[in-house]
Amino acid sequence: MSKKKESKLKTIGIKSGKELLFILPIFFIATLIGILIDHFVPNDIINQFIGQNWLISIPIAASIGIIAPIPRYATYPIAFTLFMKGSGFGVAFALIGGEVVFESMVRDIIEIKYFGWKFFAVRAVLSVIFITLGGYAIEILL
Amino acid sequence: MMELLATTWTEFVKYVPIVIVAVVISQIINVLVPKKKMGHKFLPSEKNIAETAAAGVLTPGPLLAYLPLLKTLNSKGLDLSIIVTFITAQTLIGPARLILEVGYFGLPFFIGRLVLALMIATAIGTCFKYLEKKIKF
Repeated sequence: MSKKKESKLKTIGIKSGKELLFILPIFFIATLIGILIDHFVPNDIINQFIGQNWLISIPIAASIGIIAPIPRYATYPIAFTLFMKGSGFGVAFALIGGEVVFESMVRDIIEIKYFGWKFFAVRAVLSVIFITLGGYAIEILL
Repeated sequence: MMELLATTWTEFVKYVPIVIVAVVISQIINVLVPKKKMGHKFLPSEKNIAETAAAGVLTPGPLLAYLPLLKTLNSKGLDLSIIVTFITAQTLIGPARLILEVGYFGLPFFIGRLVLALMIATAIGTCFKYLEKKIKF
């Protein structure tokens, strides 16, 4: 192996190690926060914000899904409870789809650090709009 | 408390290999690929945005694992519209959700969400492509 290739491999190894040392503790904390929210935030708190009129409840569900720091997969039981209470597929779609932003505080902080707050804010606004439209579509189709 | 820590550890260990692979790939790209070359390969065309949405949907694991790679690609010239498309598609749906989602809401709901996730990610990416001309991100 040439010295140049060896040097590049060494650089990749060192940089990867440094990046992993930075990201793995954050990743562990993010997982712990997710588990804690899953255990300690009652589903009733979120349930009471969503009503029965789907034209209104879908954008509300999209907004709650986006704003509430609910970890990935943790929205399914909540969405299913609402669905069983008669809220329809649109609310379930909007609530689950809302995880697209603010799912994990640590992930969001890293995203803002990497791409800027304007990127994050515009992404959040566009997500509310398009997830709401998606909720309406699935409510009508299914 | 010990039970919560044990659950956290199990979840953490499950995704660590994905994080390691993503970080190493990001550093390989960072070290080996010249910036100009990357910029040309990821021009923000409609075709690339749609392809990125499909890639995002098929990618497993948490988004956090892919952020360093996206940052590296961005510094190599990858457009923000492509990045937002990937982030949206990757977080909206994923292969791991299939069993969970079908179990809760049935197959038609999952298929509907899959199609809509592709459309939403593509729409947000396309909006970003035009907004980039108006807003300095």
